[in-house]
Amino acid sequence: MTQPTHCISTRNHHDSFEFPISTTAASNFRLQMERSLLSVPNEILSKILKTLHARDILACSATCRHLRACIADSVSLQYTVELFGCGMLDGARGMHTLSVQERLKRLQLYTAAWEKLLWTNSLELPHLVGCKDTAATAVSGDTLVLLHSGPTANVDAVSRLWMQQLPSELCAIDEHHYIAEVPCSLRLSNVKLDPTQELVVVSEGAILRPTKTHVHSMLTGGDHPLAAAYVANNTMSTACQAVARIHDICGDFLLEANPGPSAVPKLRNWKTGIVEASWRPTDVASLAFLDRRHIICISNSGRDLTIPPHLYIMPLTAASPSPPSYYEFALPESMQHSVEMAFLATSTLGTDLSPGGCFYSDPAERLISIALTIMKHGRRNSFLIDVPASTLTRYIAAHPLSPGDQTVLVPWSAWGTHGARVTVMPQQMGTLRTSGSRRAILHRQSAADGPAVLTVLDYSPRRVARAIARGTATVLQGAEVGAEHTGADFGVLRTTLPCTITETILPEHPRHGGETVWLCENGVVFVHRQPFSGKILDAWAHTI
Amino acid sequence: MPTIVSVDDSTVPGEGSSRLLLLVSSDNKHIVVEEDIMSRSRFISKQVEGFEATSQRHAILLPFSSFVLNKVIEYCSHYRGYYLLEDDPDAAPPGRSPVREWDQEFLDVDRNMLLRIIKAAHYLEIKSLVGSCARAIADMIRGKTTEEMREILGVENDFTPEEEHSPSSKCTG
Repeated sequence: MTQPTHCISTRNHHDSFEFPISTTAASNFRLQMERSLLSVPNEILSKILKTLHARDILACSATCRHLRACIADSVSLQYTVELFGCGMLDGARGMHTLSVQERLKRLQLYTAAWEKLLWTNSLELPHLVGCKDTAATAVSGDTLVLLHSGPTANVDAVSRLWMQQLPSELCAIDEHHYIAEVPCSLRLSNVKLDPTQELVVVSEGAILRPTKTHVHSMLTGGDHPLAAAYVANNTMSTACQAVARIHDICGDFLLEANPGPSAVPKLRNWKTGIVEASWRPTDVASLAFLDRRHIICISNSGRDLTIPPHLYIMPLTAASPSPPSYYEFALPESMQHSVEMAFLATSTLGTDLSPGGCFYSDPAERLISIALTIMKHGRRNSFLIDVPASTLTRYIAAHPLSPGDQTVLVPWSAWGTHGARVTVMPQQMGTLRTSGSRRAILHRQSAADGPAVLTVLDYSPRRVARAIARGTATVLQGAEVGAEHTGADFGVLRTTLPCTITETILPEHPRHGGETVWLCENGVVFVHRQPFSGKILDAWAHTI
Repeated sequence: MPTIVSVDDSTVPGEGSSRLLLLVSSDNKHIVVEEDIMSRSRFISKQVEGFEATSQRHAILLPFSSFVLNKVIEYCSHYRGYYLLEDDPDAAPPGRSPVREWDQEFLDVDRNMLLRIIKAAHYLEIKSLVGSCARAIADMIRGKTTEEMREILGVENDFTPEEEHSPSSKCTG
């Protein structure tokens, strides 16, 4: 027994030791050492499971009773699964002020409230009632902004921005509102919010007059210290008499366009007021940032039924002498005619903040939605095409524009049949709103004066995966959208993006018609207006 | 009850200050190992503390085979003298630290062996080895379907048909 340099030595036998291991104990132990993971102590089992993704944990819980019980007993595994179900990620470690148990409870409340639309906190917004002549409204994050226009004739009119912070018990946000006054001589026409930068952008203008755009700080209510209120010249044709519209905000840039056949999409730096880029005139219906390097736009807002709508993606490149190239994404052939309305919305990235700042929604789940209303054979059909932004960006990355290209035409078969999802909407599609990966549609059941129904579609892959695992919400698989709704024309539009559908009949209110609905991060806002005058009769928010 | 055996220090060819320990595996193999190699194991450390208190040293009987024990000793001697965060009871619980390269190679064994190692590491209270094994097992089942997982984990589907399709009440909150 002399191995000075080695630390391990083995000997088979040594006389001076006894080995009191009973043979039965040894065989029992060997029996325990079955070739199964279940033979390891629960402690280790949960250690193994903790390193797994929630999807794997869910799959594991379906393997056998023992593992299911083990997962059900662990609060932190439950929390992982619940976060996955909500489509959220945990925030930075060390930032949590709540215990895992507490966070789990809140998350479960959040999920349950959205799934069953059991709103735990219904808030009337009585101070909005009676607002006359309110024009634009915007909701983003948990803030609702309404414009109170002054009379157009009055030169010294002061218009007001009504900012309403929607309360949330879950996120410990209080109900709060304030009014910002915008000194303007003309009518305020549109408003856009960027909660990540705490900006409100509002335009004033009138037909055939220059548009003045104000950038406000949501914090102070006053002009943003960095922004210059700038005057944009309206180069409008007489055919289109509308005011330049802000479509999207991203960082220092605004995307704006005058509506109309000759509208020029422009990229403007709001800090300097300088137009950084503009594209060839298109009949812009909606315009948005696809990512930080591309903008996406849909043309044809339905004025000319003979011209099919186009979906364009234009790269943001440094100014070059040759006209910029762009991609044209074709819509399905059967949808290229008789389009009454085309509308594009990107789901805004949410910041679901809870008191400890502990969970965020996943920015990767961005979806582009295109709403189309088609008049065919005297029937009006509404469709919603949802496509993950990643499908489009992946195509762009794989097919870069060469300098000579003017247009790259992307057929529907190249992008639509893989990642896009066509949903057939109820015929009387009222309002469509998007928030994150949720879509809300308000429509009336059967008769025109029937009860209002709120349909919430949720395309979040996580929540869909979760709903399938739980078997709770109705899950519409891509293959189920078929001839039944669409007729033979749309038979080819079966795609692979599933969604969950929940329908809720709204509580009966004494009036009919004129409801609009907005989705926000933590709930739904209803505003009930008088038709034509736009006077708000009733406004309420259901938040969780 | 392990039998107390007094060990005469002079008979043990100790290297430097480190003393030797005698470990006995379930298949009656005697393994002599330096004390400071095994100090990573909380279980062994506690035993050694016991020796110090009673000034009696005895063989430590372990309920797993020499094959597994040698593997564990190989691990411990590789990390001899290293500080591993996972083993520090005062340190904050580590997050999902990546599997160290050496560990990955070391744990490139079949499933049964991996299960034996993790059980041995758990028995010996070597947290870093338990963690590495847990990550290695998790890697095997990551991204697999439920059916594939049953195969890999060696578990039987013991659900009744209703249970299988209905989500477990607790799991879904």
